[in-house]
Amino acid sequence: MNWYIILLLVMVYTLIKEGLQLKKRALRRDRIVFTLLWMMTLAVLLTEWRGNSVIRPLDWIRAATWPLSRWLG
Amino acid sequence: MKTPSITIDQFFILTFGLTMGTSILVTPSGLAGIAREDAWLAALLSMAINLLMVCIYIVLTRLYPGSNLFELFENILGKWCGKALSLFYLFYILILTGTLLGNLGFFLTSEMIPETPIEATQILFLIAAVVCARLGIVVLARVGELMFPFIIVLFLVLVLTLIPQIHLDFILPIFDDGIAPIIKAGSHAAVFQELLIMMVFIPLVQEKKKGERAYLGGALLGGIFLTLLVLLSVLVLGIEQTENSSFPAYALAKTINVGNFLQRVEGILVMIWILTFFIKISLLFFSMLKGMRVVFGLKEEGMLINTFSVLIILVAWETYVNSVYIGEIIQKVWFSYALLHLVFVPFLLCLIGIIKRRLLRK
Repeated sequence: MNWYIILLLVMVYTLIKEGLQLKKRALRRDRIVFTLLWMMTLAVLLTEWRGNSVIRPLDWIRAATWPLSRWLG
Repeated sequence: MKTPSITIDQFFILTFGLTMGTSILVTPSGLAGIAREDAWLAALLSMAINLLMVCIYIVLTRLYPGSNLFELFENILGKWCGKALSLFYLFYILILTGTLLGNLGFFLTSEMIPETPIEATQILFLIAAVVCARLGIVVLARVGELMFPFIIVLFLVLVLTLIPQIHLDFILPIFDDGIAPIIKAGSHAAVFQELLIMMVFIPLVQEKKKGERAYLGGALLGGIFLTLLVLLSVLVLGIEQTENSSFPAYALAKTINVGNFLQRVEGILVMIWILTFFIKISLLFFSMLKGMRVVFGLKEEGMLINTFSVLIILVAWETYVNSVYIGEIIQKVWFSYALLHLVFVPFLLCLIGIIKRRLLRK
């Protein structure tokens, strides 16, 4: 089963439902944050769907904390 | 809008749930791997370290009463530095939530329901957290109150039914390799309870002094339960099995056999784990939403729930790639990363906050 389709449907539903509500309530800052987060998540979802694992966050963390990890032994 | 508030008992239960969630299944193996027969001493040390950490967090909250974790960052470091630090913490919480969800899926599909797709179990569990996030922290606190007696009774049943299987010689010799492995194992295990998260919710407690006591009490009770479980794992399973099993507590529960009559009650442990896990993952979800609200100055955070849940699932699929990969990360990377967020930064903030206060007074 392709689970990505379910996630994509959730994303589309969220955009329609929350987007409309935010538009009605005229909360500009909330709308910007929502749109940015939504776009970021969609980008991650599509990249994952295509099979390009660009987000291996634990690998980023490994690289970032390498000096500290080495120091702590 | 009226600010929600939670009672002292509810705060105590949430802290307890945060301490127990996930740790209950995986901690014994990590401790036994390093400290061997002294794993239970390492668990005691881990509890002491956690209590010390809570003391640091309490000092921090006293510096700016009524501020949550993310507001504290801004109060101590200034608006922009505080926001930047909050973003780092939000990333930490996001990765933590995803990894825990991955852990849940891995456990359920490898031990209990192997034919169910891992994605289905994770999505179903996340739906529960999403519903909880929509209903609010007060509902979670009340659910916690409802669950707590069940957790205690189930845990007591687990402990009492395991007593006949105990082999006291399994924890001997004590201090065979000295104190160094105990310190190493204890400090490593202490970073898996993430008690810092409760700083997001401590302003919601009405009576501050009693709230602080509940914070310490919840961490203490959770620590005692974990220590008991580690002790039982070693006493019943022995070192080799505790160390080599992915989920020793589950293996431990499988050994329950009272008079060839009471058997196969490992579901008890799974129930405790799932109940506390639900509390933990919901608290992490709430803290992410609160963090977003503070960092970006949002009027409401409810519209981010669905998007965050999709992001968490994606993170879970990408972090929990397989048990070898995650095992290596936990051993070599996660300790320093968590230590940074749970000890170094709060301690530094505490010092900065105290100095800043003194300077202001002068």
